[in-house]
Amino acid sequence: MISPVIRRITKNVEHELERKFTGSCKVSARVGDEVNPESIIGHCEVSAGQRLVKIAHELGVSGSSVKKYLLRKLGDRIYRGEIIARRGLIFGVGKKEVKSPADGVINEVDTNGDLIVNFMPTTVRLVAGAKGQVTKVGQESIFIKTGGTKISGVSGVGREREGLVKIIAQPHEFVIPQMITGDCAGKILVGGSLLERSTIEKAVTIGVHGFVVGGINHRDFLSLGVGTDVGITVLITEGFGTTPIGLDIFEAAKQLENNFAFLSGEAKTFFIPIVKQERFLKTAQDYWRKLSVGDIVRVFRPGSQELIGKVEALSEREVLNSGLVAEVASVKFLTGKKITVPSANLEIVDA
Amino acid sequence: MTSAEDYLILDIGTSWTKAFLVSGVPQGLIKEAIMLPTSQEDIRYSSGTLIKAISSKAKSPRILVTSTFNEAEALAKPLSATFVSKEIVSKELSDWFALQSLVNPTLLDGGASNYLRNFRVSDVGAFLSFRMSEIELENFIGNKALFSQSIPENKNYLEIDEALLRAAFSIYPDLHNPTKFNTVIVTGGLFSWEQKPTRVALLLLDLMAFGKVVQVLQDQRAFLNSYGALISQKKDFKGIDFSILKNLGVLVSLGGAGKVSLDYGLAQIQEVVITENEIALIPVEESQKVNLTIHYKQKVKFSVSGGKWGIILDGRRKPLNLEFGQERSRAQVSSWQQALDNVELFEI
Repeated sequence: MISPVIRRITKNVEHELERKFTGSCKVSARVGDEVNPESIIGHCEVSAGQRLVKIAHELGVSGSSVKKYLLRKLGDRIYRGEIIARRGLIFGVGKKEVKSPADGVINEVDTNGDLIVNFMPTTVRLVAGAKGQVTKVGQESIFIKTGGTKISGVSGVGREREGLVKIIAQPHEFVIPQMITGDCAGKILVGGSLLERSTIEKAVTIGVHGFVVGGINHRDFLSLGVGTDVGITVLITEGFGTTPIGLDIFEAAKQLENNFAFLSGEAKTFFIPIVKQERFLKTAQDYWRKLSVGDIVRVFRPGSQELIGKVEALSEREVLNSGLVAEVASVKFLTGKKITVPSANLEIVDA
Repeated sequence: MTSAEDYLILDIGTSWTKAFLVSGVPQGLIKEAIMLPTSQEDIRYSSGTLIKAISSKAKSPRILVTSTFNEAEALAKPLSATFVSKEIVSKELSDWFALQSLVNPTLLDGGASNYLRNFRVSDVGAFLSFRMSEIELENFIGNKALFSQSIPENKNYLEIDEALLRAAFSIYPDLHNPTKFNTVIVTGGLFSWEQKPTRVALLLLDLMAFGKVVQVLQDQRAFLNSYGALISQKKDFKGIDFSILKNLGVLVSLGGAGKVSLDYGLAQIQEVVITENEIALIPVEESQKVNLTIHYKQKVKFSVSGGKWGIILDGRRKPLNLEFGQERSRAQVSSWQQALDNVELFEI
């Protein structure tokens, strides 16, 4: 029997980190530059959107006449509270004024007499996030060759997000809303056996960047919008349902708590750069190989609390409890429990 | 006979890759059949492993590759193999079914691609005989899609896989059209692996509308796709008997209580009365031709033959009144399974 070989955790692995621009970016790094996690590699301008100011309505004039009441021209920079339009009332008694609701630039006046103000873009400093070397400066991102610990999950959702690693729950615990506190904002939370929908909702509200968890109910996973992004990234390490996060992954993450990390649901990876190590191993491709006695394996067993074990014996075709005939393997879990399963239901865990 | 007459056919499926070494002389013979999970990230590995394992049994066999994977066509070139698309395979099989005089053939492939569809969980759960919550079942189906090559290790997992196939095939119009007699050919996945053919019978009967009659043929080695690829390249193999299809027998969905006459061509005609909700099996040998008459208000006649299970008469009301999460439904499903299991034991 052949089985897929999975790498749940790869330590000291070389990784090409892509730092995407959040808007138009003035790059301050060049190819070949050595960077540290806190190095600023670019200044990105984040568009803050537009706002409609109903000038004609506020002044009580027709849309076509609005321009003659404007105190500022198209393209002018205006500031919050500044008077941008004024109309004197009959006989010079009183006046009507419209103030700018925000800092911005007057973009246009439409036929309804509404003024469109573009908010002032916010400048965001883009940091390297990891120690390494700039390998490529593209139109939309900068690539940095770095290294660290890479954790792979079985499924995930959400774009790449970054944040400090925080252990939120023990492997067997459910991740419940009460665990999500203000200090979780901007962080990647690790641990637990089941991520509940109510927890995700609270986490999005607070501004949590992501979760690395053993399991999630399939319906909650689908509600996160596969192929879209709801503002949070989730990586599932074991499968759907209540399944404790593997001790191997939990311990690795625990050792790297408070480190800066990158989580991608689309790539199903959680990458934690390390700053000390200078030489990193090349990432090997996922592959398949022949299943052998002694292999550490992950068992397909929905609902089981234990999934990682060691192959103790392999045998030719046997009749299963289901009545089907298949090649089987005897697997011993870390707790000592032994089971016999079809060999086809195993993945080899690359140590 | 020369070794050049040997063919090695690789059928690269969604989750399993099957390899067959066949010879056309002196008679159709499958010399070797091996299967492995498809190494989806790189189909070269599972294909290469199979070719290596099987090539030692024959000198320079001609290699054919068939698959729905786009990469399979590229794989064929370095292997000096011929790629046969699934469209060609389907056409060849369709012609071959006509050559075999199969009446209105319908092919049901129970392969793993069925598990990747979107299911309404209530459609799947209605066919389970054991208690399982909606969330548990959704999670199981989600995990099954992640690990589609998995083999059901216990009866509950097997029931879920079978229920998924029921949900997948429920849309087949032929199974709902009582005016049309069909020859149903079942191949791949559980349809080929199932050790108890009566489970396949129950799966199909559950889907069949009131008044529907089918003759069922089983591709026990999941060889049919490979055979389609083979006869596309070697036309004279169409006339060779590879004993691909095993005649399982006939399924009759009466839709309630009813009477059926079976004329074996002997002096007497056997009459069978079925009560409502009864499932009865009448052993009939494969070679035995039977004229079957269903006594509705008007008589409806069919010419069928026996098979592994003979003729199964189903007196259940259709569509089945099953509801996910109801104890009544679980008890019914369980009783139907036991009914056919017992029939099989009796047969032994």
